[in-house]
Amino acid sequence: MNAAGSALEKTYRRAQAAYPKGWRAEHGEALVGTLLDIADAEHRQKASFGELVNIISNGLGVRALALTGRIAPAARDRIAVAATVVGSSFATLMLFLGEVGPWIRPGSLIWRPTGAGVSERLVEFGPFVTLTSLVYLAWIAVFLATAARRPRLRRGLLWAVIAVSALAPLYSWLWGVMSAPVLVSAVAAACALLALAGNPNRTGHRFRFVLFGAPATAAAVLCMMVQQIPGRALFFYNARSVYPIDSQTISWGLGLGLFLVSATLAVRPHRRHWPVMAAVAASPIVAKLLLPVTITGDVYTSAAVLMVLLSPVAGVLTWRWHRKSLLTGAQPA
Amino acid sequence: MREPTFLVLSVLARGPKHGYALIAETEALSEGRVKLKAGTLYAVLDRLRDEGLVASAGEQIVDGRLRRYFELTDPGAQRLQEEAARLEANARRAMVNLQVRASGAPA
Repeated sequence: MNAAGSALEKTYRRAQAAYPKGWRAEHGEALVGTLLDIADAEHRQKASFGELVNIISNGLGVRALALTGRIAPAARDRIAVAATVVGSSFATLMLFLGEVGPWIRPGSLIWRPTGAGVSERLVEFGPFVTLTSLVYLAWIAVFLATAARRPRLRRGLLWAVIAVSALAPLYSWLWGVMSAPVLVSAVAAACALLALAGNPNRTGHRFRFVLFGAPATAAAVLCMMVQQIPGRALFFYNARSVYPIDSQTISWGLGLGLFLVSATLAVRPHRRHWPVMAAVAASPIVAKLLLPVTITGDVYTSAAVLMVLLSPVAGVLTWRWHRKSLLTGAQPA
Repeated sequence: MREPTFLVLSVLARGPKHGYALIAETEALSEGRVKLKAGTLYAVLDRLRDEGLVASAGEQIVDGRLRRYFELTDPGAQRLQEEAARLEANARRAMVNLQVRASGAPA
Protein backbone atom coordinates (compact mmCIF):
# COMPACT_ATOMS: atom_id res chain seq x y z
CA MET A 1 0.00 0.00 0.00
CA ASN A 2 1.38 3.45 -0.94
CA ALA A 3 1.62 6.50 1.37
CA ALA A 4 -1.59 8.09 0.05
CA GLY A 5 -3.45 4.81 0.52
CA SER A 6 -2.12 4.54 4.04
CA ALA A 7 -3.18 8.12 4.86
CA LEU A 8 -6.63 7.44 3.45
CA GLU A 9 -6.95 4.28 5.51
CA LYS A 10 -5.92 6.22 8.64
CA THR A 11 -8.61 8.83 7.93
CA TYR A 12 -11.26 6.13 7.59
CA ARG A 13 -10.11 4.42 10.78
CA ARG A 14 -10.22 7.71 12.68
CA ALA A 15 -13.78 8.41 11.45
CA GLN A 16 -14.72 4.87 12.40
CA ALA A 17 -14.06 5.72 16.06
CA ALA A 18 -17.67 7.01 16.05
CA TYR A 19 -18.79 3.34 16.15
CA PRO A 20 -18.75 1.41 19.44
CA LYS A 21 -15.68 -0.71 20.12
CA GLY A 22 -17.57 -4.00 19.81
CA TRP A 23 -18.98 -3.03 16.41
CA ARG A 24 -15.52 -2.01 15.16
CA ALA A 25 -14.04 -5.31 16.31
CA GLU A 26 -16.67 -7.25 14.35
CA HIS A 27 -17.20 -5.12 11.21
CA GLY A 28 -14.45 -2.47 11.24
CA GLU A 29 -12.03 -4.20 8.85
CA ALA A 30 -14.78 -5.04 6.36
CA LEU A 31 -16.06 -1.42 6.41
CA VAL A 32 -12.55 0.01 5.85
CA GLY A 33 -12.01 -2.51 3.03
CA THR A 34 -15.26 -1.40 1.37
CA LEU A 35 -14.36 2.30 1.76
CA LEU A 36 -10.95 1.71 0.19
CA ASP A 37 -12.53 -0.27 -2.68
CA ILE A 38 -14.88 2.66 -3.36
CA ALA A 39 -11.99 5.17 -3.24
CA ASP A 40 -10.03 3.02 -5.73
CA ALA A 41 -13.00 2.79 -8.08
CA GLU A 42 -13.45 6.56 -7.97
CA HIS A 43 -9.66 7.17 -8.30
CA ARG A 44 -9.67 9.14 -5.06
CA GLN A 45 -6.82 9.45 -2.60
CA LYS A 46 -8.74 11.56 -0.10
CA ALA A 47 -11.91 10.87 1.81
CA SER A 48 -14.90 12.94 0.71
CA PHE A 49 -16.69 15.14 3.24
CA GLY A 50 -20.04 13.39 2.63
CA GLU A 51 -18.42 10.00 3.16
CA LEU A 52 -16.96 11.04 6.52
CA VAL A 53 -20.27 12.57 7.68
CA ASN A 54 -22.00 9.33 6.67
CA ILE A 55 -19.56 7.17 8.65
CA ILE A 56 -19.67 9.37 11.75
CA SER A 57 -23.47 9.78 11.77
CA ASN A 58 -24.05 6.03 11.28
CA GLY A 59 -21.48 5.27 13.98
CA LEU A 60 -23.21 7.57 16.46
CA GLY A 61 -26.53 5.98 15.48
CA VAL A 62 -25.15 2.52 16.29
CA ARG A 63 -23.88 3.87 19.63
CA ALA A 64 -27.32 5.30 20.46
CA LEU A 65 -28.96 1.98 19.56
CA ALA A 66 -26.42 0.07 21.65
CA LEU A 67 -27.15 2.35 24.60
CA THR A 68 -30.92 1.97 24.47
CA GLY A 69 -30.59 -1.72 23.59
CA ARG A 70 -28.77 -2.36 26.89
CA ILE A 71 -31.78 -1.22 28.87
CA ALA A 72 -34.28 -4.05 29.12
CA PRO A 73 -37.52 -3.51 27.14
CA ALA A 74 -39.60 -3.66 30.35
CA ALA A 75 -37.41 -0.95 31.93
CA ARG A 76 -37.78 1.18 28.81
CA ASP A 77 -41.56 0.81 29.02
CA ARG A 78 -41.47 1.88 32.69
CA ILE A 79 -39.36 4.92 31.79
CA ALA A 80 -41.90 5.76 29.05
CA VAL A 81 -44.71 5.46 31.61
CA ALA A 82 -42.94 7.80 34.06
CA ALA A 83 -42.11 10.27 31.28
CA THR A 84 -45.69 10.26 29.97
CA VAL A 85 -47.08 10.87 33.45
CA VAL A 86 -44.60 13.68 34.19
CA GLY A 87 -44.75 15.19 30.69
CA SER A 88 -48.52 15.39 30.46
CA SER A 89 -48.99 16.61 34.06
CA PHE A 90 -46.20 19.17 33.53
CA ALA A 91 -47.96 20.42 30.37
CA THR A 92 -51.32 20.62 32.15
CA LEU A 93 -49.79 22.62 35.01
CA MET A 94 -48.00 24.95 32.64
CA LEU A 95 -51.10 25.48 30.53
CA PHE A 96 -53.23 26.24 33.58
CA LEU A 97 -50.74 28.30 35.57
CA GLY A 98 -48.76 29.93 32.80
CA GLU A 99 -51.12 30.32 29.88
CA VAL A 100 -54.65 30.87 31.17
CA GLY A 101 -53.85 31.98 34.74
CA PRO A 102 -54.96 35.51 35.61
CA TRP A 103 -51.59 36.74 36.75
CA ILE A 104 -49.79 37.59 33.57
CA ARG A 105 -50.70 39.47 30.45
CA PRO A 106 -48.49 41.69 28.31
CA GLY A 107 -49.65 45.28 28.71
CA SER A 108 -50.44 44.76 32.34
CA LEU A 109 -46.90 44.31 33.55
CA ILE A 110 -46.24 47.91 34.56
CA TRP A 111 -48.32 47.64 37.71
CA ARG A 112 -47.11 44.12 38.42
CA PRO A 113 -43.61 44.47 39.79
CA THR A 114 -42.80 40.76 39.36
CA GLY A 115 -43.16 41.22 35.60
CA ALA A 116 -40.10 43.44 35.45
CA GLY A 117 -37.58 42.47 32.83
CA VAL A 118 -40.03 41.31 30.19
CA SER A 119 -40.53 43.71 27.32
CA GLU A 120 -43.96 45.21 26.77
CA ARG A 121 -43.25 44.91 23.05
CA LEU A 122 -43.80 41.17 23.20
CA VAL A 123 -47.21 40.06 22.01
CA GLU A 124 -49.51 37.32 23.18
CA PHE A 125 -50.03 34.15 21.19
CA GLY A 126 -53.71 33.99 20.36
CA PRO A 127 -55.82 33.11 23.39
CA PHE A 128 -52.67 32.01 25.21
CA VAL A 129 -49.83 33.96 26.72
CA THR A 130 -46.91 32.28 24.95
CA LEU A 131 -46.12 30.30 21.84
CA THR A 132 -45.00 27.42 24.09
CA SER A 133 -48.71 26.71 24.70
CA LEU A 134 -48.46 24.65 21.46
CA VAL A 135 -45.97 22.35 23.23
CA TYR A 136 -48.34 21.94 26.19
CA LEU A 137 -51.30 21.22 23.90
CA ALA A 138 -49.24 18.65 21.98
CA TRP A 139 -48.28 16.96 25.27
CA ILE A 140 -51.93 16.79 26.33
CA ALA A 141 -52.67 15.24 22.92
CA VAL A 142 -49.94 12.66 23.66
CA PHE A 143 -51.81 11.72 26.84
CA LEU A 144 -55.09 11.41 24.91
CA ALA A 145 -53.41 9.27 22.21
CA THR A 146 -51.97 7.02 24.94
CA ALA A 147 -55.39 6.77 26.59
CA ALA A 148 -56.94 5.91 23.20
CA ARG A 149 -54.26 3.21 22.67
CA ARG A 150 -52.94 4.81 19.49
CA PRO A 151 -49.17 4.15 19.70
CA ARG A 152 -48.26 5.47 16.23
CA LEU A 153 -50.16 8.71 16.79
CA ARG A 154 -48.54 8.97 20.21
CA ARG A 155 -45.04 8.66 18.74
CA GLY A 156 -45.81 11.23 16.03
CA LEU A 157 -47.08 13.70 18.63
CA LEU A 158 -43.99 13.14 20.81
CA TRP A 159 -41.75 14.02 17.87
CA ALA A 160 -43.95 17.09 17.31
CA VAL A 161 -43.39 18.12 20.96
CA ILE A 162 -39.62 17.87 20.45
CA ALA A 163 -39.72 19.84 17.18
CA VAL A 164 -41.96 22.64 18.52
CA SER A 165 -39.95 22.84 21.76
CA ALA A 166 -36.82 23.43 19.70
CA LEU A 167 -38.39 25.90 17.30
CA ALA A 168 -40.52 27.99 19.70
CA PRO A 169 -37.63 29.99 21.26
CA LEU A 170 -36.20 30.65 17.78
CA TYR A 171 -39.56 31.79 16.40
CA SER A 172 -40.08 33.97 19.47
CA TRP A 173 -36.69 35.61 19.00
CA LEU A 174 -37.33 36.26 15.30
CA TRP A 175 -40.93 37.47 15.45
CA GLY A 176 -41.29 38.96 18.94
CA VAL A 177 -43.98 36.54 20.12
CA MET A 178 -43.66 35.56 23.77
CA SER A 179 -42.35 32.09 24.54
CA ALA A 180 -41.64 30.36 27.84
CA PRO A 181 -38.04 30.22 29.12
CA VAL A 182 -35.76 27.70 27.39
CA LEU A 183 -35.73 25.57 30.57
CA VAL A 184 -39.47 24.91 30.22
CA SER A 185 -39.15 23.85 26.56
CA ALA A 186 -36.11 21.73 27.43
CA VAL A 187 -37.99 19.84 30.16
CA ALA A 188 -40.98 19.26 27.84
CA ALA A 189 -38.66 17.96 25.10
CA ALA A 190 -36.66 15.78 27.53
CA CYS A 191 -39.89 14.20 28.80
CA ALA A 192 -40.89 13.51 25.17
CA LEU A 193 -37.51 11.91 24.39
CA LEU A 194 -37.78 9.63 27.41
CA ALA A 195 -41.41 8.81 26.55
CA LEU A 196 -40.18 7.59 23.14
CA ALA A 197 -38.00 4.99 24.89
CA GLY A 198 -40.89 2.53 25.20
CA ASN A 199 -44.60 1.88 24.93
CA PRO A 200 -46.84 2.43 28.01
CA ASN A 201 -49.69 0.52 26.32
CA ARG A 202 -47.97 -2.86 26.34
CA THR A 203 -49.40 -4.01 29.66
CA GLY A 204 -52.70 -3.20 31.36
CA HIS A 205 -51.26 -2.01 34.67
CA ARG A 206 -48.79 0.40 33.02
CA PHE A 207 -51.59 1.75 30.85
CA ARG A 208 -53.77 2.30 33.93
CA PHE A 209 -50.85 3.94 35.73
CA VAL A 210 -50.64 6.55 32.95
CA LEU A 211 -54.41 6.92 32.71
CA PHE A 212 -54.85 7.73 36.41
CA GLY A 213 -51.32 8.81 37.34
CA ALA A 214 -51.06 11.81 35.01
CA PRO A 215 -54.30 13.57 36.12
CA ALA A 216 -53.56 12.69 39.77
CA THR A 217 -50.03 14.12 39.57
CA ALA A 218 -51.25 17.29 37.85
CA ALA A 219 -54.02 17.73 40.44
CA ALA A 220 -51.70 17.07 43.40
CA VAL A 221 -48.99 19.50 42.27
CA LEU A 222 -51.63 22.07 41.30
CA CYS A 223 -53.13 21.88 44.80
CA MET A 224 -49.69 22.44 46.32
CA MET A 225 -49.06 25.32 43.96
CA VAL A 226 -52.40 27.03 44.58
CA GLN A 227 -51.89 26.59 48.31
CA GLN A 228 -48.68 28.60 47.99
CA ILE A 229 -50.08 31.49 45.96
CA PRO A 230 -49.35 34.50 48.15
CA GLY A 231 -52.44 36.38 47.05
CA ARG A 232 -50.53 38.91 45.02
CA ALA A 233 -49.95 39.35 41.31
CA LEU A 234 -47.65 36.62 40.09
CA PHE A 235 -45.47 36.65 37.02
CA PHE A 236 -45.23 32.98 36.21
CA TYR A 237 -42.44 32.95 33.64
CA ASN A 238 -40.13 35.50 35.22
CA ALA A 239 -36.75 33.89 35.87
CA ARG A 240 -36.18 36.32 38.74
CA SER A 241 -39.52 35.69 40.40
CA VAL A 242 -39.33 35.70 44.18
CA TYR A 243 -42.54 33.71 44.59
CA PRO A 244 -42.54 29.99 45.31
CA ILE A 245 -44.69 29.13 42.30
CA ASP A 246 -43.15 29.80 38.94
CA SER A 247 -42.18 28.00 35.77
CA GLN A 248 -38.57 27.56 36.94
CA THR A 249 -39.53 25.80 40.17
CA ILE A 250 -41.98 23.42 38.49
CA SER A 251 -39.56 22.69 35.63
CA TRP A 252 -36.67 21.97 37.97
CA GLY A 253 -38.80 19.94 40.37
CA LEU A 254 -40.55 17.70 37.84
CA GLY A 255 -37.58 17.55 35.44
CA LEU A 256 -35.16 16.50 38.15
CA GLY A 257 -37.67 14.06 39.61
CA LEU A 258 -38.18 12.38 36.23
CA PHE A 259 -34.44 12.25 35.58
CA LEU A 260 -33.81 10.48 38.89
CA VAL A 261 -36.71 8.04 38.42
CA SER A 262 -35.54 7.24 34.87
CA ALA A 263 -31.94 6.74 36.00
CA THR A 264 -33.11 4.41 38.76
CA LEU A 265 -35.19 2.39 36.31
CA ALA A 266 -32.45 2.30 33.68
CA VAL A 267 -29.56 1.05 35.82
CA ARG A 268 -29.32 -2.54 36.95
CA PRO A 269 -30.49 -3.28 40.50
CA HIS A 270 -26.99 -3.73 41.93
CA ARG A 271 -26.01 -0.22 40.75
CA ARG A 272 -29.10 1.55 42.03
CA HIS A 273 -27.22 3.16 44.93
CA TRP A 274 -25.91 5.85 42.54
CA PRO A 275 -29.28 7.33 41.50
CA VAL A 276 -30.54 6.89 45.08
CA MET A 277 -27.55 8.87 46.35
CA ALA A 278 -28.23 11.58 43.75
CA ALA A 279 -31.89 11.68 44.77
CA VAL A 280 -31.01 12.22 48.43
CA ALA A 281 -28.52 14.95 47.54
CA ALA A 282 -31.12 16.66 45.32
CA SER A 283 -33.84 16.58 47.95
CA PRO A 284 -33.46 20.28 48.89
CA ILE A 285 -34.47 21.31 45.38
CA VAL A 286 -37.55 19.10 45.57
CA ALA A 287 -38.18 20.48 49.07
CA LYS A 288 -38.20 23.98 47.61
CA LEU A 289 -40.98 22.90 45.29
CA LEU A 290 -43.03 21.21 47.98
CA LEU A 291 -42.57 23.32 51.10
CA PRO A 292 -45.29 25.94 51.47
CA VAL A 293 -43.42 27.75 54.21
CA THR A 294 -39.98 29.20 53.93
CA ILE A 295 -37.25 29.29 56.53
CA THR A 296 -35.92 32.75 55.85
CA GLY A 297 -38.85 34.40 54.12
CA ASP A 298 -37.23 34.02 50.71
CA VAL A 299 -37.56 30.72 48.86
CA TYR A 300 -34.14 30.74 47.19
CA THR A 301 -32.33 31.46 50.43
CA SER A 302 -34.46 28.77 52.09
CA ALA A 303 -33.50 26.26 49.39
CA ALA A 304 -29.83 27.17 49.84
CA VAL A 305 -30.15 26.72 53.61
CA LEU A 306 -31.86 23.36 53.11
CA MET A 307 -29.18 22.32 50.65
CA VAL A 308 -26.41 23.17 53.13
CA LEU A 309 -28.24 21.39 55.96
CA LEU A 310 -29.28 18.28 54.04
CA SER A 311 -26.29 17.58 51.82
CA PRO A 312 -23.97 16.37 54.64
CA VAL A 313 -26.87 14.33 56.04
CA ALA A 314 -27.40 12.79 52.59
CA GLY A 315 -23.69 12.08 52.30
CA VAL A 316 -23.50 10.40 55.72
CA LEU A 317 -26.61 8.30 55.10
CA THR A 318 -25.34 7.18 51.70
CA TRP A 319 -21.94 6.33 53.13
CA ARG A 320 -23.44 4.23 55.94
CA TRP A 321 -25.79 2.50 53.55
CA HIS A 322 -23.33 1.68 50.80
CA ARG A 323 -19.91 1.90 52.44
CA LYS A 324 -18.89 -1.58 51.41
CA SER A 325 -19.94 -1.25 47.80
CA LEU A 326 -18.42 2.23 47.47
CA LEU A 327 -15.07 1.04 48.82
CA THR A 328 -14.80 -2.31 47.08
CA GLY A 329 -17.26 -2.11 44.19
CA ALA A 330 -19.05 -5.15 45.64
CA GLN A 331 -22.78 -5.46 45.12
CA PRO A 332 -24.84 -4.12 48.02
CA ALA A 333 -27.01 -6.56 49.88
CA MET B 1 -39.79 -1.91 2.77
CA ARG B 2 -37.59 1.03 1.79
CA GLU B 3 -35.99 1.13 -1.62
CA PRO B 4 -32.32 0.65 -0.51
CA THR B 5 -33.35 -2.42 1.50
CA PHE B 6 -35.30 -3.81 -1.46
CA LEU B 7 -32.34 -3.22 -3.79
CA VAL B 8 -29.81 -4.85 -1.43
CA LEU B 9 -32.02 -7.94 -1.08
CA SER B 10 -32.54 -8.01 -4.87
CA VAL B 11 -28.78 -7.93 -5.53
CA LEU B 12 -28.15 -10.67 -2.95
CA ALA B 13 -30.80 -12.84 -4.66
CA ARG B 14 -28.22 -13.47 -7.40
CA GLY B 15 -25.66 -14.82 -4.91
CA PRO B 16 -23.28 -13.75 -2.12
CA LYS B 17 -21.70 -10.30 -2.51
CA HIS B 18 -19.14 -8.23 -0.60
CA GLY B 19 -19.63 -4.59 0.45
CA TYR B 20 -18.30 -2.80 -2.60
CA ALA B 21 -20.06 -5.18 -5.02
CA LEU B 22 -23.34 -4.50 -3.22
CA ILE B 23 -22.89 -0.74 -3.57
CA ALA B 24 -21.95 -0.98 -7.26
CA GLU B 25 -24.76 -3.41 -8.15
CA THR B 26 -27.50 -1.53 -6.27
CA GLU B 27 -26.48 1.57 -8.19
CA ALA B 28 -26.62 -0.34 -11.48
CA LEU B 29 -29.94 -1.99 -10.60
CA SER B 30 -31.52 1.37 -9.79
CA GLU B 31 -30.04 2.89 -12.96
CA GLY B 32 -27.96 5.32 -10.92
CA ARG B 33 -30.77 6.63 -8.70
CA VAL B 34 -29.62 4.94 -5.50
CA LYS B 35 -25.98 5.25 -4.57
CA LEU B 36 -25.46 3.82 -1.10
CA LYS B 37 -22.65 5.15 1.04
CA ALA B 38 -20.61 2.57 2.94
CA GLY B 39 -21.92 3.61 6.39
CA THR B 40 -25.51 3.39 5.17
CA LEU B 41 -24.92 0.00 3.55
CA TYR B 42 -23.56 -1.47 6.78
CA ALA B 43 -26.49 0.02 8.73
CA VAL B 44 -28.88 -1.70 6.30
CA LEU B 45 -26.93 -4.97 6.56
CA ASP B 46 -26.90 -4.78 10.39
CA ARG B 47 -30.68 -4.43 10.42
CA LEU B 48 -31.23 -7.19 7.86
CA ARG B 49 -28.98 -9.55 9.81
CA ASP B 50 -30.85 -8.77 13.03
CA GLU B 51 -34.09 -9.64 11.23
CA GLY B 52 -32.55 -12.85 9.89
CA LEU B 53 -32.98 -11.83 6.24
CA VAL B 54 -29.27 -11.89 5.35
CA ALA B 55 -26.27 -13.72 6.80
CA SER B 56 -22.48 -13.54 6.58
CA ALA B 57 -21.08 -15.90 3.93
CA GLY B 58 -17.36 -15.97 4.51
CA GLU B 59 -14.42 -13.62 4.16
CA GLN B 60 -11.59 -13.09 1.73
CA ILE B 61 -8.42 -10.98 1.91
CA VAL B 62 -7.77 -9.13 -1.36
CA ASP B 63 -4.77 -6.74 -1.63
CA GLY B 64 -4.52 -6.74 2.15
CA ARG B 65 -8.18 -5.71 2.54
CA LEU B 66 -10.85 -7.75 4.21
CA ARG B 67 -13.89 -8.52 2.06
CA ARG B 68 -16.84 -9.95 3.94
CA TYR B 69 -19.51 -11.63 1.86
CA PHE B 70 -23.24 -11.54 2.61
CA GLU B 71 -25.95 -13.87 1.35
CA LEU B 72 -29.74 -13.96 1.31
CA THR B 73 -31.33 -16.37 3.82
CA ASP B 74 -34.52 -18.35 3.09
CA PRO B 75 -36.70 -15.94 5.12
CA GLY B 76 -34.95 -13.10 3.25
CA ALA B 77 -35.83 -14.66 -0.11
CA GLN B 78 -39.45 -15.11 1.00
CA ARG B 79 -39.67 -11.52 2.21
CA LEU B 80 -38.19 -10.26 -1.08
CA GLN B 81 -40.67 -12.33 -3.05
CA GLU B 82 -43.61 -10.91 -1.06
CA GLU B 83 -42.38 -7.35 -1.51
CA ALA B 84 -41.76 -7.85 -5.23
CA ALA B 85 -45.27 -9.31 -5.65
CA ARG B 86 -46.77 -6.35 -3.78
CA LEU B 87 -44.89 -3.84 -5.93
CA GLU B 88 -45.84 -5.74 -9.09
CA ALA B 89 -49.52 -5.71 -8.11
CA ASN B 90 -49.37 -1.97 -7.37
CA ALA B 91 -47.67 -1.29 -10.69
CA ARG B 92 -50.27 -3.38 -12.54
CA ARG B 93 -53.11 -1.43 -10.90
CA ALA B 94 -51.43 1.86 -11.74
CA MET B 95 -51.07 0.82 -15.41
CA VAL B 96 -54.74 -0.17 -15.60
CA ASN B 97 -55.78 3.18 -14.12
CA LEU B 98 -53.56 5.04 -16.56
CA GLN B 99 -55.16 3.14 -19.45
CA VAL B 100 -58.60 4.14 -18.14
CA ARG B 101 -57.48 7.74 -17.96
CA ALA B 102 -56.03 7.62 -21.48
CA SER B 103 -59.23 6.12 -22.90
CA GLY B 104 -61.28 8.96 -21.35
CA ALA B 105 -63.70 6.55 -19.66
CA PRO B 106 -65.35 7.73 -16.38
CA ALA B 107 -63.95 6.35 -13.10
